[in-house]
Amino acid sequence: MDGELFELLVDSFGRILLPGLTVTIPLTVISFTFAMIIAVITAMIQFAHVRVLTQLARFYIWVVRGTPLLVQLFVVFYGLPNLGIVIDPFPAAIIVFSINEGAYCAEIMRAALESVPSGQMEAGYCVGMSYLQTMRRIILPQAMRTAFPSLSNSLIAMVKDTSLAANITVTEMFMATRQIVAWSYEPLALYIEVGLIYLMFCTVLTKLQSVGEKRLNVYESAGGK
Amino acid sequence: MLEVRNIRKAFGDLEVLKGVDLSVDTGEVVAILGPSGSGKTTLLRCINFLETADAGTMKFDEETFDLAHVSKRDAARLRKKTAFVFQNYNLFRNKTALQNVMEGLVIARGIPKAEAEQKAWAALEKVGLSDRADYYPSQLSGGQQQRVAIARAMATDPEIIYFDEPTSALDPELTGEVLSVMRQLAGEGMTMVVVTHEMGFARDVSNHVIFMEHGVVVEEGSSEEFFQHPKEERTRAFLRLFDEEE
Repeated sequence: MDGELFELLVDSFGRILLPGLTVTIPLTVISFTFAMIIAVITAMIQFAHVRVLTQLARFYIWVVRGTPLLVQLFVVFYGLPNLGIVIDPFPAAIIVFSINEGAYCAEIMRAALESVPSGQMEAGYCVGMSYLQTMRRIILPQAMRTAFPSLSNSLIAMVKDTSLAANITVTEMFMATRQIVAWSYEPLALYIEVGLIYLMFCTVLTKLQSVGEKRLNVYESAGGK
Repeated sequence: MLEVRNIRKAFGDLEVLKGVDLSVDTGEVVAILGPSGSGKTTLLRCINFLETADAGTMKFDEETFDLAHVSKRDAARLRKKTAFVFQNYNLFRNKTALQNVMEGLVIARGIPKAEAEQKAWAALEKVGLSDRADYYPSQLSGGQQQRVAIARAMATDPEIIYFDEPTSALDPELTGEVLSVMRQLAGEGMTMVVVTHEMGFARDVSNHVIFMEHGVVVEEGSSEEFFQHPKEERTRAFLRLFDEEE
């Protein structure tokens, strides 16, 4: 590798990482938080078979999962201005990622809720707890544990999906890389570099996942303590 | 204290309860016997509103309820006066033994944590499991889990405890430890309704026996009468089965 290219990579590392820390990560964290709120509510509505709302939940999941994320981004950012609704790139990305991820996580949560044996809810009733108390104290924590690996998977996928936000002018890592490529003409090295930074982020998340799983598994490990 | 009249329940075309009566006095231990599929468990589940009966009335503490149309609020209120022990324990899997016992005290009844913890310890002590307080259900044997479940049931000072085949999922060795806890409870005057296949327990501990088959009560009476002088031929045949076993 010649010295000039090496210098470019070192120089651009910080310039790619910075939007990673200030845009990619906040975008992921904020969107995933909203997505989880949407997911838990949507899953609980279906789990409890709340009339009308269950149909709405199914409709939401059907539409969101059946259309490309990129199309959703374009509809919100480039399409909505036609109706006079103009949203800045970053909030637009948050809205789309939250709604999109929420639908996938809702399905994960629904399956996890249904995997909790019905006896757990009955036992809650029988010790005098209400539906919501049992849900909050007994069912949701157990469902969370079941859902955790799949949710982690979704989160990791989402970190990478945020690169699509470049298409609606959000200056996240991929956009920053493209800008450097535009004047340096080193696409191979730079795109590999940004790929490695994504890999770094995801490695951290993978580690966090295994730590989290260990903590959540505490009550499932058979045998004495 | 508890009086159930003409309870009916069908699952689709299958009539599981065809008009069953049950009455329990304070301090009484009632054993419900019968072959599998006779509707014993369904009876118990309907009384505690885990299933909604199709018809029937229930009188509990001088209050009368229509079992087919009981409001959620009434069901919740009544459940706080009762306790239920399940065949497969149904301990909260994400809670330790102590937390399992405390949950109904702190969350459902709003008892301060310190007081609830004391009560929970006492209950665990009673079933001989205070040394397992910090264990999760997955770390306990079936017999221990069921004893924690009994501790959870009695910690709330219920007026009555319903037992749904509490030893059916246990091997004989573990059955003994659960039955002895139940004997002790009965000795202390706890009102109990026990669906069971344990003839010995029914004979020695219960005051009153109800024998069910195909959704109706075939015979009932004091446990002495029932075991010594069964009236119905069907009852005799049923009891013979167990004599042969013993």
